[in-house]
Parts: sequence; C-alpha cells; structure tokens
Amino acid sequence: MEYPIRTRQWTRAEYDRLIEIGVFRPGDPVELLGGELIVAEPQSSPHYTAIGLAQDALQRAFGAGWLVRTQGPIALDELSEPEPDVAVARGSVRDYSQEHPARPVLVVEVAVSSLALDRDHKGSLYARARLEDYWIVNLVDRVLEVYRRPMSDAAAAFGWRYASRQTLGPESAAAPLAAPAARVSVADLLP
Amino acid sequence: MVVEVAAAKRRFTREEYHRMAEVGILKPTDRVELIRGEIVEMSPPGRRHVAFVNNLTQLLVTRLAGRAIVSVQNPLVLAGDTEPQPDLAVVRHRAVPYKEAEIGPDDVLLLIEVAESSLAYDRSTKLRLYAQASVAEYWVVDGAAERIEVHRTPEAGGYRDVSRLAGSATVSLGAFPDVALTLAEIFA
Repeated sequence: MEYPIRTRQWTRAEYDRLIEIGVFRPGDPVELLGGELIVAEPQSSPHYTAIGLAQDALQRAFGAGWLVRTQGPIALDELSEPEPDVAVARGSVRDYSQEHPARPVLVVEVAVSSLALDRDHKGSLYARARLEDYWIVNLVDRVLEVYRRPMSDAAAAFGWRYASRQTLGPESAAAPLAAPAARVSVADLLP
Repeated sequence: MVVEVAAAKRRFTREEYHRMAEVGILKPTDRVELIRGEIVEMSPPGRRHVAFVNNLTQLLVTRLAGRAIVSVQNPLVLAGDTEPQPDLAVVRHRAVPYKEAEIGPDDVLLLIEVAESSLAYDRSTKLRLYAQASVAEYWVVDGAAERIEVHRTPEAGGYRDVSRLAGSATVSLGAFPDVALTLAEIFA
C-alpha cells in the first residue's frame, strides 16, 4: 500500500530555471502540468508521423499570419508549461523569441498510450486556461476528438472540462474555430 | 491542491536535487526530502513532534555519551535517488570522517521517525525504504498515541522482528543493549 504524499510543486519560473541550469537537456521529454513534472509519451513512429501530418494539414488550413509549432512550450499558467504536439498561434516565429505563446488558438495532442492523460488531465488543464479549441488525434481508434466550450466542473482534474466533445471518423473533416472557412480532413491526420 | 496524475512523474537523482539547492531553486525554507526520485514535502512539525524529537535527542546524547553520534533531522544517503531526512539517526564512529562522505545506511545503528500526520507513510513507504537499504533498526514513534514500534532485522520488504511498546515500557537499542530509555521519558 502506498500512502499519498505531497510532492514539491514547481512554478513555471522554477521550471525554466531548471532548464537553464541543465537539469533538463533539450529534448528531455518533460512537461510541467499543474506544478507536476510529467514525463511525456515516448515517440513511436506513428506518433511522430501523426505530428508531421497535423503540422502540414494545419499549415495549409491556416495559411499566412499563423504559426504552427510542434512540441513547443506553451506559457499556459503559473504552474504549467505543456508542450502540446501541435499548437497554432498568431504571428510568426520571431514573435515568440522573448516569451512562449500563452494562448494558442488550437492545440492538438496525438495519443497512442496517453489517451487518458490527454483527455482527462491535459484536457482539464487546457479547459481551465480557456483554450477554445482542443483536438486529440486518437490513433487507437483512428478518430479525431474535437473538444470545445470550456466549463467549470469540480469533478475534473483541474476543476474544468470541455462541455462539447465531437468524435470524427476518417471520412469527416473539421474546421478550426480560428479558421472557420478551412476544412481539415481527418484522413489527412491519420498515418 | 494535490492532483492525481495518471502519467509518470519525472524523478530526480541526488545530483540534480543538490544542484537545485545550489542554484537556489530549492531554498533552505523548503522542507523536503528526496524519496525514490520524488521531492517530497514534509509536514510542518507540530508542538508535540518538536517536544518528542528534543526529548529523544537529549536522552540519546546523554545515554550514549560519545559511543555513537546522534544526528538530528539531517540527510542520509540511501541510494542515488533517495536522501531522506529522518528525525533522528544514531550513527557509528567510523574511520572516514563524516565531513569526507555522507552518512550511508551502513553507518546507521538506529533510525527514528516521530510521526503525527505522517504515521501511515512512516510505517509503509519509509519502512520499506529503510529495510531495503538494510538499516539495522527503525523506530516509529507514534506521537499521538504515545507508542513506539521497534523494527529490527531488515529483510526484503520489511523488518522481521517488530515489537510494539506502550505505557510504562522501556526501549533499548539493538546496537547498545545496555542503553535503555523509558517511554515516560520520551513522551515527557
């Protein structure tokens, strides 16, 4: 039997300092989620491929004036610096040379073994930060899950969840909230 | 807020843990210990906890009178990812001075944790940790019930010999059978 313990919580400032002093090396698969340092899912080839597919599809969908970042840090809140598989932010690369983007208009996670974490844990964290559009490329069931309309829910991991969840099969397409005219075909997202 | 995380937490080595202290990310005011790579926060000591730790310190220092060293709330190195700070450790005199190398499990004759809110943790996770590192003797002092559990003979997963003492009992040290403390003195 293990008893619950309270581990030291990290702030984003402390986490950035840990990177600076080299406790984490670049590419170390770690994310700060609600004060906890979480080891990210190892990169399987379908996972990595799906990231590339999402990046291409979203670059086409959003076009000029938008930046599609892969596995880059997001300055989400005081205790969180996740590195979503793909995030779309306004502007261009240099706009974020001083600070990570805080409010991407779309965040995408590719899930193989991390489905529960991506749905319940990260989903709750993103909803709490009021990220309006959250997609999970679910490689287990080969569907796209689209989460929208953040709402508070005391039962959720971080007190928030998405009110709307839409599951789209390979025949369907999704339109990002921030690029409503564009259509992203689910088949294009699946390896 | 304590959040249950389904995913694996990043664990730290002792080297990383000390680096954090060196650069000031962990501050002297952080009451933490490194347990199996996790930086665990210790609960703030209550009045009774302080009193019993002080009583034990006085009694052990006096009764052992130079035969061993009493190390109070200091770290102890059990493994590359584990550096707890037990309430008390009775450590042997050794050839290599302690300024040269940290206290390791072989140096420890007796470990004591004084538990109030941490009783379940001290009896389970900590106990297995100490037994696994072959710490010869471990006392769990239950400050609320004024009882002591004495654990001796470490083996895989725990200690083989356990005795539970209460009331007017006397407890002696395995390493120094002639040194005895009464529970009345400890819980005074």
